[in-house]
Amino acid sequence: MRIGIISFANKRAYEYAECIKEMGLNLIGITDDEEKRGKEAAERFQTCFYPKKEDLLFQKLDAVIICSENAKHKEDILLSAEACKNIICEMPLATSFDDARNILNACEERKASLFLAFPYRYSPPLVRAKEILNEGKIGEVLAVKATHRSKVPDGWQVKKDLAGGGAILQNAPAMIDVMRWFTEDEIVEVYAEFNKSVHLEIEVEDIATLSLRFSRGAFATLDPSWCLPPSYPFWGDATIELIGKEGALLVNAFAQVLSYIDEKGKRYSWEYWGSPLNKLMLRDYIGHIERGEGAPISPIEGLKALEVAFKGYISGERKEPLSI
Amino acid sequence: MLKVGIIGAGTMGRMHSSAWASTGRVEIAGIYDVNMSYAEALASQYSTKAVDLPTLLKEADIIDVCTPTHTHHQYVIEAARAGKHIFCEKPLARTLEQGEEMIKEVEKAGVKFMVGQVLRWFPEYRKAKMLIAEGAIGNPLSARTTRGGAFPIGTADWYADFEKSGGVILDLIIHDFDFLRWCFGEVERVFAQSLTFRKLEHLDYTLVMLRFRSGVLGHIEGIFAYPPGSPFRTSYEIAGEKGMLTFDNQSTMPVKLLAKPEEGKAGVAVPESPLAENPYFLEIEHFLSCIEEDKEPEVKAEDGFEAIRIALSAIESVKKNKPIYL
Repeated sequence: MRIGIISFANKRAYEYAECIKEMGLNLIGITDDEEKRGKEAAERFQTCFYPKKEDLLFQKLDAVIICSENAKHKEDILLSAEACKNIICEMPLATSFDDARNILNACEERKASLFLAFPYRYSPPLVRAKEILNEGKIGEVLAVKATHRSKVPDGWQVKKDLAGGGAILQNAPAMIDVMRWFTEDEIVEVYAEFNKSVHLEIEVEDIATLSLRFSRGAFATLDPSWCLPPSYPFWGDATIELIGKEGALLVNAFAQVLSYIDEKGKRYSWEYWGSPLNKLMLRDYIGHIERGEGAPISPIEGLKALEVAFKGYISGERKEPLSI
Repeated sequence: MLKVGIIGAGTMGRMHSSAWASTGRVEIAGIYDVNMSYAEALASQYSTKAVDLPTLLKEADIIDVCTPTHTHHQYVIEAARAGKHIFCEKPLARTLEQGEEMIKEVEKAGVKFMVGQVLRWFPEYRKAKMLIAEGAIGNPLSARTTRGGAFPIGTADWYADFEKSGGVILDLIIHDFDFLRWCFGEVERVFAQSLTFRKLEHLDYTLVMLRFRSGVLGHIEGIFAYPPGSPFRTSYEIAGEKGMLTFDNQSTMPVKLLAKPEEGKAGVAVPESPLAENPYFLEIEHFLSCIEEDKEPEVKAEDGFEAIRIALSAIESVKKNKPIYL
């Protein structure tokens, strides 16, 4: 299997490259708009650096992984779809709903399979929670409370033109997807509050909360804020609590940690020992590609999650709930 | 395809059968248990057969001993004499003499042998070992561990028979002894107190202190004392000159189901900690790859032996009320 990686702007690329090496697959090459970053990655993973994307895509790849800045996904996917049948792309897929929809259409026209990154669908705690829900253990879900918070990122992720948005666009879709997966229900209304408050130097929102309503009547909130201080012991969180007619289910996807504190109290961290989500996901995607199957999770799921996020921005500006 | 034969169709026999089957690289050739109805029930789940011991020893390439502790000796020796690779559940043996004899036979047979010190494949313990080895806490100073819950109820209540199980010290905290020795090296002396010899029904509890040759102090709590149905606790606190690592399984359960009580029963919270790969699968898979690739297993026979030596010394310390030098 011949794989190429477009850009290491998104740090997940490093984990994917490691995983490709572990699996004994052929990492044909790397391209990156930032030549220094790309060359360093190529050296680290003992592969070729291609200054031009076209030259990498010319290498008869079986799959290309796109980890560029959100705003570049569209261009990178459209270019890749001309040369490669399987495209793995980070979320958020695009920086506007129209772009996201056009990308899906373009991939379909060119018969390229689009695998969007849904690592939480591979989290053993979340997979187990989904089983418990399927078994009907808490009955009909009436309400959901979720968080997917993190520290404030830096670099392109806080620039409006490259990231497309802040906490809502970058943190909410992954957890919106979990909510839709868990409830097997559609979100029909969103109300959002957001602010650019804590960190004045960033160009996008950092604090936000979304209120959601599902078609069968359940309501939910989701906090995707970049509110965790730099000294917080972990990169972020992913929690979801569901109230059902027959019981409740409380899930903290990153509870599997041990605590580490250093001698001077300069460092207190949670060291994760749970299963590696990104690798589990990539292994499954590669398996599907090897067998010539399409994406196990339709990119439409990603589109729907993004729609909620984009509508959230409009709702927040209009200060009223918005139907979806 | 290699053929594995399982001896003992109790809790561990079930766990291991599932692990062997999950590898997809062995055939479960048969299952033997002194109680043939247990063997038949388990065999039917894995589309294999319940067989007598001579047949199992003839047909299998690997023997997995999952029986009560005091019987490990006889089965491991028989399997070694038949020239089979052997996986033996922890603890290695009920006595040091048994352990010595087993290792001698295994070495003579030149077969692969591993004791199921499965904690080494639990990611929460493996991660700590890795961080310590990387120097995250500097020079290690002390370690406190907790393990246990309710008194285990095995076939014919064998855990309650000290001559068979060795009580909480040999059966349960053998895990922590092996883990701590893996992290900190050899033990110099041990001092222990325990309820083991108080003749209490289904109640055992111990506090064991270890001094390692490196100077590290270990404190190990072993619990077979909580009321039936209590959660199984594991925790550690490992302190070094430059930092500390702590873990408690009760506060790191990602999934908690609060279910409505069934008619006539109290409501229960069922916490779980799901992983993509089960530690029992990982240890079995490791042993299998050692056979396939002719590698030495991560848990060497000596490791299994040293773990029981610490445990049996702790038991001796309880009896004599004095520190025992290893």
